[in-house]
Amino acid sequence: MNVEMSPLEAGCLGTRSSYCPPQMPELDYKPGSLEDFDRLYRSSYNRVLYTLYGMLGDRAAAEDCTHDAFVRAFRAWKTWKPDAPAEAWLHRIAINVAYTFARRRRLGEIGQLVRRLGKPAPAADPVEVAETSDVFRALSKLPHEQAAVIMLRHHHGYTNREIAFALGAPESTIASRLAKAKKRLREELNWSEAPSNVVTRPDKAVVLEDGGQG
Amino acid sequence: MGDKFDNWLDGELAKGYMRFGPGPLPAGAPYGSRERLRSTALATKVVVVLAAIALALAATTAIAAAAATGSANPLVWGQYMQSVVTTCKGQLQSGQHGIGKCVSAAARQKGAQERNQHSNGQGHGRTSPGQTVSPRSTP
Repeated sequence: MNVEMSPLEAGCLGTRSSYCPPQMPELDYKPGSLEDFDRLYRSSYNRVLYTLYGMLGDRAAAEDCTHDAFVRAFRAWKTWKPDAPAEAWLHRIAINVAYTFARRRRLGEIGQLVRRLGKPAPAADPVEVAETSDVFRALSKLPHEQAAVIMLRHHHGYTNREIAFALGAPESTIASRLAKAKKRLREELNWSEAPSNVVTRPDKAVVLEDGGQG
Repeated sequence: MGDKFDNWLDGELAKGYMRFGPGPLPAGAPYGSRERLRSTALATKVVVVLAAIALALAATTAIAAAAATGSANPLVWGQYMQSVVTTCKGQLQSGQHGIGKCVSAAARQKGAQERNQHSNGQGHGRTSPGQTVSPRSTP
């Protein structure tokens, strides 16, 4: 039986292990070591940034939160326990920073709405809109905790257990949150699947899989 | 059925990551610079506190010297102390060492004398720089 392990399960990010994909450096971190934290920063910065971008849908905000998260993580680095993967621990801090940021932003938006009182909202930056893909537009409409599980599972390949650690929630909660997130994402994307190999999205041309032409 | 969506989603997020980055890391790790700033701020605070302590000590010494000599002029304090030290040294018997007790006794005596002059309404009984109070002899 071939049991596939994710890099996190294999321990690549937290402890020394012989099972690590070639693109992922074998890392063994020591809590409190400045050199190890620098390595963690170099290996995780872009990954954490991308997770937060998926949650917040705003690159500048994601960068601010990522910086903040690394500062907090650095202060708490001595307390990190090697039994938990370092990157998942980092994600936990970063996602909490993003939640706080999103709450403040929502409050700010309510304030703006009250001040505008009936005037139209300012238009979004057209360049940013053009650069944002459908997935990210749809993700930005999901609750932040749902967007976070989508990013951790479908980009980073975390298992439910790893996501549970990163989000500080029970695995059963993660499973149901993931199911809800995917359902909501399909609705936002107007995704429907035909019974055959034809995948259709009402707002797009028909996409034929397995080399078909749409 | 869900697999197709999952695969599509994985692919879209991977494509998004390639568009999004992975870019070069920002110059200067944020935690490093902020922590450095914090430690610099801490060092500044320590220097300020030390400077305040040194200032307070100097002020206390000046007040004590002024009280002993009855003069606000540091030159007078210096001359007074010099004369006390000379007197105390002269009182040392051969083979004896240390004039600390003699000097502090002289300072106490001078302080008491100044206080008495104040209480008797003689104003600041200034002691001329050359004039010394004879210190009590010490063993």
